[in-house]
Amino acid sequence: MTEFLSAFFVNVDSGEILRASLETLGMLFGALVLSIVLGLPLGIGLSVTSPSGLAPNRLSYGALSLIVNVLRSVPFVILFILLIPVTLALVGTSLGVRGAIPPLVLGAAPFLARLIEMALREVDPAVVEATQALGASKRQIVWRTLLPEALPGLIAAVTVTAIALVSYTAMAGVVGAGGLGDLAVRYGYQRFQTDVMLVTVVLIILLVQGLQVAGDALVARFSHK
Amino acid sequence: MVEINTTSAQADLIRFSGLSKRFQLKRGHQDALAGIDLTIRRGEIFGIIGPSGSGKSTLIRMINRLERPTQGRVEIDGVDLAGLDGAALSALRHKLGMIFQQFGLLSTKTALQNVAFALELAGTGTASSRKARALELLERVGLSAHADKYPAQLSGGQKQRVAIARALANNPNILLCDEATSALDPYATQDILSLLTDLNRDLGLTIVLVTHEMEVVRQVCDRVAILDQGRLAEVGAVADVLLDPQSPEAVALAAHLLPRPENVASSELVRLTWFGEDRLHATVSGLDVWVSLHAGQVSHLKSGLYGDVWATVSGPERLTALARLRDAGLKVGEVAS
Ligand SMILES: Nc1ncnc2c1ncn2[C@@H]1O[C@H](COP(=O)(O)OP(=O)(O)OP(=O)(O)O)[C@@H](O)[C@H]1O
Ligand SMILES: [Mg+2]
Repeated sequence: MTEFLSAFFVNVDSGEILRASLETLGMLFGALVLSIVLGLPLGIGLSVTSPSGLAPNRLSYGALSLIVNVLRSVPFVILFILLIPVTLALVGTSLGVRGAIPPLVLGAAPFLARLIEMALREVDPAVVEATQALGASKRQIVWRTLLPEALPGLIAAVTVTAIALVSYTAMAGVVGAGGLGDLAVRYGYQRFQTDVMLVTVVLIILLVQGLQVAGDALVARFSHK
Repeated sequence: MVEINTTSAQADLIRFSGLSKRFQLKRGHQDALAGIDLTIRRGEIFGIIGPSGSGKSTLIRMINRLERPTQGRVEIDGVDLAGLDGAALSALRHKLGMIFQQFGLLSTKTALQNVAFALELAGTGTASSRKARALELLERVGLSAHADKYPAQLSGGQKQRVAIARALANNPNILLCDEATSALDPYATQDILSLLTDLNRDLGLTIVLVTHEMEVVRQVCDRVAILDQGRLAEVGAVADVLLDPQSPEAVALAAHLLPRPENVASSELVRLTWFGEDRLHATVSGLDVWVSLHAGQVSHLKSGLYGDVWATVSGPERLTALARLRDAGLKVGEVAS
Protein backbone atom coordinates (compact mmCIF):
# COMPACT_ATOMS: atom_id res chain seq x y z
CA MET A 1 0.00 0.00 0.00
CA THR A 2 2.70 2.47 1.04
CA GLU A 3 4.72 1.42 -1.99
CA PHE A 4 1.76 1.99 -4.22
CA LEU A 5 1.20 5.43 -2.72
CA SER A 6 4.78 6.52 -3.05
CA ALA A 7 4.73 5.19 -6.60
CA PHE A 8 1.62 7.20 -7.40
CA PHE A 9 2.73 10.39 -5.64
CA VAL A 10 6.15 10.16 -7.25
CA ASN A 11 6.44 13.90 -7.89
CA VAL A 12 5.36 15.06 -4.47
CA ASP A 13 8.16 16.81 -2.63
CA SER A 14 7.04 17.18 0.96
CA GLY A 15 9.48 20.01 1.62
CA GLU A 16 8.03 22.07 -1.19
CA ILE A 17 4.48 21.27 -0.14
CA LEU A 18 5.27 22.45 3.38
CA ARG A 19 6.81 25.68 2.13
CA ALA A 20 3.84 26.39 -0.12
CA SER A 21 1.40 25.62 2.69
CA LEU A 22 3.16 28.04 5.01
CA GLU A 23 3.07 30.72 2.32
CA THR A 24 -0.65 30.21 1.86
CA LEU A 25 -1.25 30.38 5.61
CA GLY A 26 0.91 33.51 5.83
CA MET A 27 -1.05 35.24 3.07
CA LEU A 28 -4.35 34.09 4.55
CA PHE A 29 -3.82 35.24 8.11
CA GLY A 30 -1.82 38.35 7.24
CA ALA A 31 -4.56 39.47 4.86
CA LEU A 32 -7.35 38.42 7.23
CA VAL A 33 -6.03 40.46 10.14
CA LEU A 34 -5.57 43.54 7.98
CA SER A 35 -8.99 43.02 6.37
CA ILE A 36 -10.57 43.07 9.82
CA VAL A 37 -8.61 46.19 10.78
CA LEU A 38 -9.89 47.91 7.64
CA GLY A 39 -13.26 46.21 7.22
CA LEU A 40 -14.58 46.63 10.77
CA PRO A 41 -14.52 50.46 10.83
CA LEU A 42 -15.82 50.49 7.26
CA GLY A 43 -18.66 48.12 8.18
CA ILE A 44 -19.51 50.15 11.29
CA GLY A 45 -19.45 53.32 9.18
CA LEU A 46 -21.81 51.79 6.64
CA SER A 47 -24.18 50.59 9.36
CA VAL A 48 -24.21 53.84 11.35
CA THR A 49 -24.70 56.14 8.35
CA SER A 50 -27.23 53.92 6.53
CA PRO A 51 -30.76 55.31 6.21
CA SER A 52 -31.96 53.09 9.07
CA GLY A 53 -28.77 53.58 11.12
CA LEU A 54 -27.97 55.46 14.31
CA ALA A 55 -26.81 58.59 12.51
CA PRO A 56 -28.17 58.46 8.97
CA ASN A 57 -26.05 60.44 6.53
CA ARG A 58 -26.87 60.10 2.88
CA LEU A 59 -23.57 61.55 1.67
CA SER A 60 -21.23 59.46 3.84
CA TYR A 61 -23.21 56.32 3.22
CA GLY A 62 -23.22 56.92 -0.52
CA ALA A 63 -19.46 57.51 -0.60
CA LEU A 64 -18.59 54.46 1.54
CA SER A 65 -21.01 52.34 -0.45
CA LEU A 66 -19.46 53.43 -3.73
CA ILE A 67 -15.91 52.57 -2.62
CA VAL A 68 -17.04 49.16 -1.41
CA ASN A 69 -18.99 48.41 -4.57
CA VAL A 70 -16.18 49.45 -6.90
CA LEU A 71 -13.61 47.30 -5.12
CA ARG A 72 -16.00 44.39 -4.98
CA SER A 73 -16.94 44.51 -8.64
CA VAL A 74 -13.36 44.15 -9.95
CA PRO A 75 -12.44 40.45 -10.38
CA PHE A 76 -9.64 39.59 -8.00
CA VAL A 77 -6.99 38.70 -10.58
CA ILE A 78 -7.56 42.00 -12.36
CA LEU A 79 -7.50 43.89 -9.05
CA PHE A 80 -4.18 42.22 -8.29
CA ILE A 81 -2.64 43.39 -11.58
CA LEU A 82 -4.21 46.87 -11.40
CA LEU A 83 -2.79 47.36 -7.93
CA ILE A 84 0.81 46.43 -8.79
CA PRO A 85 2.05 50.05 -8.71
CA VAL A 86 0.32 50.62 -5.38
CA THR A 87 1.68 47.35 -4.02
CA LEU A 88 5.19 48.27 -5.10
CA ALA A 89 4.90 51.62 -3.37
CA LEU A 90 3.53 50.05 -0.19
CA VAL A 91 5.69 46.94 0.33
CA GLY A 92 8.45 47.27 -2.29
CA THR A 93 7.56 44.13 -4.23
CA SER A 94 4.60 42.72 -6.06
CA LEU A 95 5.80 39.15 -5.63
CA GLY A 96 5.64 36.61 -2.86
CA VAL A 97 3.56 36.69 0.27
CA ARG A 98 4.31 40.34 0.94
CA GLY A 99 3.36 41.43 -2.54
CA ALA A 100 0.09 39.51 -2.33
CA ILE A 101 -1.14 41.04 0.89
CA PRO A 102 -2.18 44.54 -0.29
CA PRO A 103 -4.39 43.28 -3.14
CA LEU A 104 -5.79 40.51 -0.94
CA VAL A 105 -6.76 43.06 1.72
CA LEU A 106 -8.30 45.44 -0.79
CA GLY A 107 -10.24 42.56 -2.26
CA ALA A 108 -11.44 41.13 1.06
CA ALA A 109 -11.95 44.18 3.32
CA PRO A 110 -14.91 45.65 1.35
CA PHE A 111 -16.51 42.21 1.21
CA LEU A 112 -16.09 41.87 4.98
CA ALA A 113 -17.41 45.41 5.51
CA ARG A 114 -20.68 44.53 3.75
CA LEU A 115 -21.04 41.36 5.80
CA ILE A 116 -20.40 43.36 8.99
CA GLU A 117 -23.00 45.93 7.97
CA MET A 118 -25.49 43.09 7.51
CA ALA A 119 -24.57 41.47 10.85
CA LEU A 120 -25.09 44.81 12.65
CA ARG A 121 -28.43 45.28 10.93
CA GLU A 122 -29.55 41.93 12.33
CA VAL A 123 -29.33 43.24 15.92
CA ASP A 124 -32.82 43.47 17.46
CA PRO A 125 -33.94 47.13 17.20
CA ALA A 126 -35.74 46.70 20.53
CA VAL A 127 -32.37 46.17 22.22
CA VAL A 128 -30.93 49.29 20.61
CA GLU A 129 -33.96 51.30 21.66
CA ALA A 130 -33.80 50.01 25.23
CA THR A 131 -30.11 50.96 25.39
CA GLN A 132 -31.00 54.41 24.10
CA ALA A 133 -33.66 54.75 26.78
CA LEU A 134 -31.00 53.88 29.38
CA GLY A 135 -29.17 57.04 28.37
CA ALA A 136 -26.43 55.49 26.24
CA SER A 137 -24.54 57.78 23.87
CA LYS A 138 -24.23 56.77 20.20
CA ARG A 139 -20.68 55.62 20.85
CA GLN A 140 -21.85 53.48 23.76
CA ILE A 141 -24.63 52.02 21.63
CA VAL A 142 -22.12 50.96 18.97
CA TRP A 143 -19.47 49.59 21.32
CA ARG A 144 -21.55 48.32 24.21
CA THR A 145 -24.65 47.07 22.43
CA LEU A 146 -24.38 46.68 18.66
CA LEU A 147 -20.97 45.00 18.43
CA PRO A 148 -21.39 42.61 21.40
CA GLU A 149 -24.92 41.69 20.31
CA ALA A 150 -23.73 41.07 16.75
CA LEU A 151 -20.67 39.05 17.83
CA PRO A 152 -21.87 35.67 16.51
CA GLY A 153 -22.77 37.34 13.19
CA LEU A 154 -19.41 39.11 13.10
CA ILE A 155 -17.55 35.83 13.64
CA ALA A 156 -19.57 34.23 10.85
CA ALA A 157 -18.69 37.19 8.60
CA VAL A 158 -14.97 36.75 9.34
CA THR A 159 -15.25 33.02 8.62
CA VAL A 160 -16.87 33.61 5.24
CA THR A 161 -14.23 36.21 4.43
CA ALA A 162 -11.40 33.87 5.45
CA ILE A 163 -12.75 31.20 3.12
CA ALA A 164 -13.05 33.71 0.28
CA LEU A 165 -9.44 34.71 1.01
CA VAL A 166 -8.30 31.10 0.56
CA SER A 167 -9.51 31.12 -3.01
CA TYR A 168 -8.05 34.61 -3.54
CA THR A 169 -4.64 33.32 -2.34
CA ALA A 170 -4.85 30.49 -4.86
CA MET A 171 -5.52 33.02 -7.62
CA ALA A 172 -2.74 35.23 -6.31
CA GLY A 173 -0.48 32.20 -6.63
CA VAL A 174 -1.06 32.19 -10.37
CA VAL A 175 0.28 35.73 -10.69
CA GLY A 176 3.42 35.32 -8.64
CA ALA A 177 2.46 35.17 -5.00
CA GLY A 178 3.58 31.62 -4.31
CA GLY A 179 1.69 29.26 -2.03
CA LEU A 180 -0.42 26.23 -2.84
CA GLY A 181 -2.10 27.87 -5.81
CA ASP A 182 1.28 28.53 -7.38
CA LEU A 183 2.29 24.90 -6.80
CA ALA A 184 -0.87 23.58 -8.38
CA VAL A 185 -0.38 25.67 -11.49
CA ARG A 186 3.34 25.16 -11.94
CA TYR A 187 3.37 21.41 -11.43
CA GLY A 188 -0.14 20.27 -11.94
CA TYR A 189 -1.02 22.38 -14.94
CA GLN A 190 2.20 23.24 -16.69
CA ARG A 191 4.01 19.92 -16.07
CA PHE A 192 1.06 17.55 -15.94
CA GLN A 193 1.98 16.32 -12.47
CA THR A 194 -1.52 15.36 -11.46
CA ASP A 195 -0.35 14.03 -8.09
CA VAL A 196 0.94 17.44 -6.99
CA MET A 197 -2.27 19.05 -8.14
CA LEU A 198 -4.27 16.51 -6.14
CA VAL A 199 -2.29 17.06 -2.94
CA THR A 200 -2.63 20.84 -3.14
CA VAL A 201 -6.35 20.62 -3.78
CA VAL A 202 -6.82 18.28 -0.82
CA LEU A 203 -4.83 20.64 1.40
CA ILE A 204 -6.92 23.61 0.30
CA ILE A 205 -10.12 21.67 0.99
CA LEU A 206 -8.83 20.75 4.44
CA LEU A 207 -7.97 24.39 5.13
CA VAL A 208 -11.43 25.60 4.13
CA GLN A 209 -13.08 22.85 6.13
CA GLY A 210 -10.95 23.69 9.17
CA LEU A 211 -11.85 27.38 8.95
CA GLN A 212 -15.54 26.60 8.71
CA VAL A 213 -15.50 24.20 11.66
CA ALA A 214 -13.53 26.64 13.80
CA GLY A 215 -15.83 29.53 12.81
CA ASP A 216 -18.97 27.53 13.58
CA ALA A 217 -17.57 26.50 16.95
CA LEU A 218 -16.86 30.13 17.86
CA VAL A 219 -20.32 31.23 16.73
CA ALA A 220 -21.87 28.55 18.94
CA ARG A 221 -19.62 29.55 21.83
CA PHE A 222 -20.68 33.22 21.73
CA SER A 223 -24.31 32.88 20.82
CA HIS A 224 -26.90 32.78 23.60
CA LYS A 225 -30.08 32.76 21.53
CA MET B 1 -28.46 68.88 34.01
CA VAL B 2 -32.03 68.10 34.88
CA GLU B 3 -32.74 67.56 38.52
CA ILE B 4 -36.08 65.95 39.09
CA ASN B 5 -37.22 66.89 42.53
CA THR B 6 -39.17 64.10 44.18
CA THR B 7 -39.82 65.91 47.42
CA SER B 8 -41.38 68.93 45.79
CA ALA B 9 -44.91 69.55 46.98
CA GLN B 10 -45.94 70.30 43.43
CA ALA B 11 -48.43 67.63 42.36
CA ASP B 12 -47.87 68.00 38.63
CA LEU B 13 -44.86 66.05 37.42
CA ILE B 14 -45.11 65.76 33.64
CA ARG B 15 -46.84 68.35 31.53
CA PHE B 16 -47.53 68.27 27.79
CA SER B 17 -48.72 71.51 26.31
CA GLY B 18 -49.87 72.01 22.75
CA LEU B 19 -47.90 68.92 21.83
CA SER B 20 -47.96 67.85 18.19
CA LYS B 21 -45.92 65.38 16.21
CA ARG B 22 -45.85 65.11 12.46
CA PHE B 23 -43.87 62.34 10.77
CA GLN B 24 -42.64 63.13 7.30
CA LEU B 25 -43.25 60.16 5.04
CA LYS B 26 -41.88 59.47 1.56
CA ARG B 27 -45.17 60.75 0.24
CA GLY B 28 -46.94 63.26 2.46
CA HIS B 29 -46.95 63.11 6.23
CA GLN B 30 -48.60 61.51 9.23
CA ASP B 31 -49.89 63.50 12.19
CA ALA B 32 -49.24 61.14 15.08
CA LEU B 33 -50.22 63.67 17.78
CA ALA B 34 -52.26 66.82 17.40
CA GLY B 35 -52.41 69.45 20.13
CA ILE B 36 -52.15 67.34 23.28
CA ASP B 37 -52.54 69.16 26.63
CA LEU B 38 -52.12 66.80 29.52
CA THR B 39 -50.70 66.65 33.02
CA ILE B 40 -49.43 63.58 34.85
CA ARG B 41 -49.24 63.84 38.63
CA ARG B 42 -46.50 62.78 40.97
CA GLY B 43 -46.92 59.28 42.39
CA GLU B 44 -49.84 58.19 40.24
CA ILE B 45 -50.15 55.32 37.80
CA PHE B 46 -51.29 57.02 34.65
CA GLY B 47 -52.74 55.00 31.78
CA ILE B 48 -52.65 55.93 28.11
CA ILE B 49 -55.06 53.88 26.05
CA GLY B 50 -56.29 53.95 22.48
CA PRO B 51 -56.47 51.88 19.33
CA SER B 52 -53.42 50.91 17.27
CA GLY B 53 -51.87 53.92 15.58
CA SER B 54 -53.55 56.43 17.90
CA GLY B 55 -50.20 57.86 19.02
CA LYS B 56 -49.72 56.19 22.42
CA SER B 57 -46.11 55.19 21.84
CA THR B 58 -45.28 58.52 20.26
CA LEU B 59 -46.67 60.30 23.33
CA ILE B 60 -44.90 58.23 25.98
CA ARG B 61 -41.62 58.39 24.04
CA MET B 62 -41.79 62.19 24.23
CA ILE B 63 -41.19 61.91 27.98
CA ASN B 64 -37.67 60.52 27.59
CA ARG B 65 -37.16 62.20 24.26
CA LEU B 66 -36.92 59.08 22.16
CA GLU B 67 -39.29 61.21 20.09
CA ARG B 68 -39.13 64.97 19.66
CA PRO B 69 -42.21 67.15 19.27
CA THR B 70 -42.73 69.14 16.11
CA GLN B 71 -44.75 71.61 18.17
CA GLY B 72 -45.50 72.23 21.80
CA ARG B 73 -43.64 71.44 24.98
CA VAL B 74 -42.88 68.63 27.36
CA GLU B 75 -41.93 69.59 30.90
CA ILE B 76 -40.83 67.39 33.76
CA ASP B 77 -41.08 69.12 37.11
CA GLY B 78 -41.22 72.45 35.36
CA VAL B 79 -38.09 71.81 33.30
CA ASP B 80 -38.64 72.15 29.57
CA LEU B 81 -37.04 69.22 27.74
CA ALA B 82 -36.50 71.21 24.55
CA GLY B 83 -32.85 71.73 23.79
CA LEU B 84 -31.66 68.84 25.97
CA ASP B 85 -28.84 67.11 24.15
CA GLY B 86 -25.78 64.99 24.68
CA ALA B 87 -24.83 64.61 28.34
CA ALA B 88 -27.93 66.42 29.62
CA LEU B 89 -30.18 64.10 27.66
CA SER B 90 -28.30 61.05 28.97
CA ALA B 91 -28.65 62.38 32.52
CA LEU B 92 -32.40 62.79 32.00
CA ARG B 93 -32.73 59.26 30.67
CA HIS B 94 -30.81 57.80 33.60
CA LYS B 95 -33.59 59.21 35.77
CA LEU B 96 -36.40 57.81 33.62
CA GLY B 97 -36.84 54.05 33.50
CA MET B 98 -38.54 52.54 30.50
CA ILE B 99 -39.77 49.05 29.66
CA PHE B 100 -41.08 47.76 26.36
CA GLN B 101 -43.26 45.06 24.87
CA GLN B 102 -40.20 43.32 23.43
CA PHE B 103 -38.13 43.57 26.67
CA GLY B 104 -34.97 44.77 24.87
CA LEU B 105 -32.55 42.73 26.97
CA LEU B 106 -29.06 42.11 25.61
CA SER B 107 -29.00 38.47 24.57
CA THR B 108 -25.26 38.21 25.18
CA LYS B 109 -25.52 39.26 28.83
CA THR B 110 -26.93 37.39 31.83
CA ALA B 111 -29.83 38.82 33.83
CA LEU B 112 -27.36 40.23 36.34
CA GLN B 113 -25.13 41.72 33.64
CA ASN B 114 -28.16 43.29 31.96
CA VAL B 115 -29.09 45.09 35.17
CA ALA B 116 -25.49 46.10 35.87
CA PHE B 117 -25.28 47.40 32.28
CA ALA B 118 -27.64 50.27 33.18
CA LEU B 119 -25.25 51.27 35.99
CA GLU B 120 -22.21 50.99 33.70
CA LEU B 121 -23.81 53.26 31.12
CA ALA B 122 -24.50 55.82 33.83
CA GLY B 123 -20.94 55.42 35.09
CA THR B 124 -21.95 54.70 38.68
CA GLY B 125 -19.96 52.70 41.20
CA THR B 126 -17.26 50.07 40.89
CA ALA B 127 -17.67 46.68 39.24
CA SER B 128 -18.35 45.04 42.60
CA SER B 129 -20.74 47.71 43.88
CA ARG B 130 -22.64 47.51 40.59
CA LYS B 131 -22.88 43.75 40.94
CA ALA B 132 -24.19 44.07 44.49
CA ARG B 133 -26.74 46.67 43.45
CA ALA B 134 -27.84 44.55 40.47
CA LEU B 135 -28.37 41.55 42.74
CA GLU B 136 -30.39 43.68 45.13
CA LEU B 137 -32.59 44.84 42.24
CA LEU B 138 -33.07 41.29 40.95
CA GLU B 139 -34.09 40.32 44.46
CA ARG B 140 -36.59 43.19 44.49
CA VAL B 141 -38.28 41.76 41.38
CA GLY B 142 -38.05 38.19 42.71
CA LEU B 143 -35.44 36.89 40.32
CA SER B 144 -32.28 36.45 42.38
CA ALA B 145 -32.33 32.71 41.64
CA HIS B 146 -32.00 33.43 37.93
CA ALA B 147 -29.25 36.03 38.06
CA ASP B 148 -26.84 34.04 35.93
CA LYS B 149 -29.28 33.00 33.23
CA TYR B 150 -29.27 34.47 29.75
CA PRO B 151 -32.52 36.03 28.45
CA ALA B 152 -33.06 33.04 26.13
CA GLN B 153 -33.32 30.85 29.25
CA LEU B 154 -36.03 33.00 30.87
CA SER B 155 -39.80 33.12 30.36
CA GLY B 156 -41.47 36.26 29.02
CA GLY B 157 -42.60 37.35 32.47
CA GLN B 158 -39.11 36.78 33.89
CA LYS B 159 -37.55 38.78 31.05
CA GLN B 160 -39.88 41.67 31.79
CA ARG B 161 -38.88 41.50 35.48
CA VAL B 162 -35.23 41.76 34.49
CA ALA B 163 -36.13 44.71 32.28
CA ILE B 164 -37.92 46.35 35.22
CA ALA B 165 -34.91 45.77 37.48
CA ARG B 166 -32.69 47.32 34.82
CA ALA B 167 -35.04 50.28 34.39
CA LEU B 168 -34.93 50.91 38.15
CA ALA B 169 -31.15 50.61 38.45
CA ASN B 170 -30.42 54.33 38.47
CA ASN B 171 -33.21 55.16 40.95
CA PRO B 172 -35.57 56.85 38.53
CA ASN B 173 -38.71 58.47 39.85
CA ILE B 174 -40.67 57.83 36.70
CA LEU B 175 -41.18 54.47 35.01
CA LEU B 176 -42.46 54.44 31.44
CA CYS B 177 -44.16 51.25 30.24
CA ASP B 178 -44.99 50.87 26.55
CA GLU B 179 -47.25 47.82 26.18
CA ALA B 180 -45.16 46.09 28.82
CA THR B 181 -47.60 43.22 29.24
CA SER B 182 -48.81 42.86 25.66
CA ALA B 183 -46.42 40.01 24.83
CA LEU B 184 -47.23 38.10 28.03
CA ASP B 185 -49.75 35.38 28.88
CA PRO B 186 -52.52 36.26 31.39
CA TYR B 187 -50.62 34.87 34.40
CA ALA B 188 -47.43 36.73 33.62
CA THR B 189 -49.51 39.85 32.93
CA GLN B 190 -51.03 39.70 36.44
CA ASP B 191 -47.61 39.10 37.85
CA ILE B 192 -46.08 42.17 36.20
CA LEU B 193 -49.11 44.36 36.98
CA SER B 194 -48.93 43.54 40.68
CA LEU B 195 -45.19 44.19 40.67
CA LEU B 196 -45.83 47.61 39.11
CA THR B 197 -48.51 48.37 41.71
CA ASP B 198 -46.09 47.40 44.51
CA LEU B 199 -43.32 49.57 43.11
CA ASN B 200 -45.71 52.50 42.83
CA ARG B 201 -46.82 52.08 46.44
CA ASP B 202 -43.46 51.23 48.02
CA LEU B 203 -41.16 53.57 46.14
CA GLY B 204 -43.61 56.30 45.26
CA LEU B 205 -42.67 55.66 41.66
CA THR B 206 -44.75 57.58 39.12
CA ILE B 207 -45.75 55.13 36.39
CA VAL B 208 -46.91 56.01 32.90
CA LEU B 209 -48.43 52.97 31.29
CA VAL B 210 -49.38 52.60 27.64
CA THR B 211 -51.79 49.80 26.84
CA HIS B 212 -54.57 48.90 24.44
CA GLU B 213 -56.40 46.89 27.10
CA MET B 214 -58.99 48.64 29.29
CA GLU B 215 -58.70 45.70 31.67
CA VAL B 216 -55.12 46.72 32.47
CA VAL B 217 -56.20 50.32 33.06
CA ARG B 218 -59.06 49.18 35.31
CA GLN B 219 -56.74 47.09 37.44
CA VAL B 220 -53.82 49.39 38.08
CA CYS B 221 -54.33 52.98 36.93
CA ASP B 222 -55.39 56.00 38.95
CA ARG B 223 -56.16 58.11 35.92
CA VAL B 224 -56.34 57.46 32.23
CA ALA B 225 -56.06 59.37 28.97
CA ILE B 226 -57.85 58.06 25.91
CA LEU B 227 -56.18 58.80 22.60
CA ASP B 228 -57.83 58.57 19.25
CA GLN B 229 -56.06 59.43 16.00
CA GLY B 230 -53.55 61.60 17.77
CA ARG B 231 -56.16 63.58 19.71
CA LEU B 232 -56.93 63.42 23.40
CA ALA B 233 -60.50 62.07 23.48
CA GLU B 234 -60.89 62.07 27.26
CA VAL B 235 -58.87 62.18 30.45
CA GLY B 236 -59.94 61.50 34.00
CA ALA B 237 -59.97 59.22 37.02
CA VAL B 238 -60.52 55.61 35.97
CA ALA B 239 -63.73 55.30 38.00
CA ASP B 240 -65.17 58.42 36.36
CA VAL B 241 -64.27 57.33 32.87
CA LEU B 242 -65.84 53.90 33.44
CA LEU B 243 -68.94 55.10 35.24
CA ASP B 244 -69.60 58.26 33.37
CA PRO B 245 -67.79 58.22 30.03
CA GLN B 246 -68.12 61.48 28.10
CA SER B 247 -66.61 60.73 24.73
CA PRO B 248 -67.72 58.05 22.25
CA GLU B 249 -64.25 56.51 22.59
CA ALA B 250 -64.63 56.17 26.37
CA VAL B 251 -68.14 54.75 25.97
CA ALA B 252 -66.78 52.17 23.56
CA LEU B 253 -63.94 51.21 25.91
CA ALA B 254 -66.26 50.85 28.91
CA ALA B 255 -68.65 48.76 26.82
CA HIS B 256 -65.79 46.62 25.61
CA LEU B 257 -64.83 45.78 29.18
CA LEU B 258 -68.09 43.82 29.55
CA PRO B 259 -69.76 42.96 26.24
CA ARG B 260 -73.54 42.55 26.14
CA PRO B 261 -74.40 38.88 26.69
CA GLU B 262 -75.44 37.49 23.31
CA ASN B 263 -77.80 34.78 24.47
CA VAL B 264 -80.19 37.11 26.28
CA ALA B 265 -82.93 38.43 24.05
CA SER B 266 -84.95 40.10 26.80
CA SER B 267 -85.88 43.72 26.33
CA GLU B 268 -85.60 44.03 30.11
CA LEU B 269 -81.83 43.64 30.02
CA VAL B 270 -79.99 46.54 31.67
CA ARG B 271 -76.36 47.32 32.34
CA LEU B 272 -75.73 48.40 35.92
CA THR B 273 -72.50 50.01 36.99
CA TRP B 274 -71.60 51.46 40.34
CA PHE B 275 -68.68 52.52 42.45
CA GLY B 276 -68.25 51.14 45.96
CA GLU B 277 -69.91 48.27 47.82
CA ASP B 278 -72.52 46.08 46.13
CA ARG B 279 -75.90 47.79 46.72
CA LEU B 280 -77.89 46.04 44.02
CA HIS B 281 -79.94 43.57 46.03
CA ALA B 282 -80.32 45.79 49.09
CA THR B 283 -81.81 48.53 46.93
CA VAL B 284 -84.50 46.44 45.26
CA SER B 285 -85.40 44.16 48.16
CA GLY B 286 -89.04 44.35 49.12
CA LEU B 287 -90.14 45.34 45.60
CA ASP B 288 -92.10 42.97 43.41
CA VAL B 289 -89.31 42.38 40.88
CA TRP B 290 -86.98 39.58 39.84
CA VAL B 291 -83.39 40.35 39.19
CA SER B 292 -81.23 37.85 37.36
CA LEU B 293 -77.58 38.42 36.63
CA HIS B 294 -76.17 37.32 33.27
CA ALA B 295 -72.61 38.53 33.27
CA GLY B 296 -70.41 40.86 35.22
CA GLN B 297 -68.24 41.30 38.21
CA VAL B 298 -67.39 43.43 41.17
CA SER B 299 -63.73 44.23 40.83
CA HIS B 300 -61.09 46.33 42.48
CA LEU B 301 -60.10 49.58 40.92
CA LYS B 302 -57.12 51.25 42.47
CA SER B 303 -59.55 53.66 44.11
CA GLY B 304 -62.03 51.10 45.36
CA LEU B 305 -64.68 48.60 44.32
CA TYR B 306 -66.33 48.84 40.94
CA GLY B 307 -69.41 46.85 40.00
CA ASP B 308 -70.40 46.19 36.41
CA VAL B 309 -73.17 43.71 35.52
CA TRP B 310 -75.69 42.84 32.86
CA ALA B 311 -78.99 41.93 34.53
CA THR B 312 -82.62 41.51 33.62
CA VAL B 313 -84.95 43.34 35.98
CA SER B 314 -88.51 42.23 35.45
CA GLY B 315 -91.82 42.21 37.29
CA PRO B 316 -94.67 44.62 38.05
CA GLU B 317 -92.53 47.14 39.89
CA ARG B 318 -89.71 47.15 37.34
CA LEU B 319 -89.71 50.90 36.73
CA THR B 320 -89.79 51.71 40.44
CA ALA B 321 -86.87 49.38 40.96
CA LEU B 322 -84.85 51.09 38.21
CA ALA B 323 -85.64 54.51 39.66
CA ARG B 324 -84.49 53.39 43.12
CA LEU B 325 -81.29 52.00 41.66
CA ARG B 326 -80.58 55.35 40.02
CA ASP B 327 -81.31 57.16 43.27
CA ALA B 328 -78.89 54.85 45.06
CA GLY B 329 -76.15 56.04 42.71
CA LEU B 330 -76.04 53.09 40.35
CA LYS B 331 -75.80 53.83 36.69
CA VAL B 332 -78.53 52.18 34.65
CA GLY B 333 -77.81 51.80 30.97
CA GLU B 334 -79.48 50.29 27.89
CA VAL B 335 -83.07 50.26 29.11
CA ALA B 336 -85.52 49.28 26.43
CA SER B 337 -88.90 50.91 27.21
N1 LIG C 1 -41.02 56.76 12.94
C1 LIG C 1 -42.21 56.94 12.33
N2 LIG C 1 -42.26 57.34 11.05
C2 LIG C 1 -43.45 57.53 10.44
N3 LIG C 1 -44.64 57.36 11.02
C3 LIG C 1 -44.66 56.96 12.29
C4 LIG C 1 -43.45 56.73 13.02
N4 LIG C 1 -43.77 56.33 14.28
C5 LIG C 1 -45.12 56.33 14.32
N5 LIG C 1 -45.66 56.70 13.14
C6 LIG C 1 -47.10 56.84 12.85
O1 LIG C 1 -47.68 57.63 13.85
C7 LIG C 1 -48.94 57.11 14.25
C8 LIG C 1 -48.94 56.82 15.72
O2 LIG C 1 -48.02 55.78 15.98
P1 LIG C 1 -47.79 55.18 17.42
O3 LIG C 1 -46.73 54.15 17.30
O4 LIG C 1 -47.58 56.27 18.40
O5 LIG C 1 -49.19 54.47 17.70
P2 LIG C 1 -49.62 53.53 18.90
O6 LIG C 1 -50.84 54.11 19.48
O7 LIG C 1 -48.47 53.29 19.80
O8 LIG C 1 -49.99 52.20 18.13
P3 LIG C 1 -49.80 50.66 18.58
O9 LIG C 1 -50.91 50.35 19.53
O10 LIG C 1 -49.95 49.91 17.30
O11 LIG C 1 -48.46 50.53 19.19
C9 LIG C 1 -49.16 55.88 13.39
O12 LIG C 1 -49.97 56.25 12.31
C10 LIG C 1 -47.80 55.51 12.92
O13 LIG C 1 -47.87 54.90 11.65
MG1 LIG D 1 -47.28 51.59 20.33
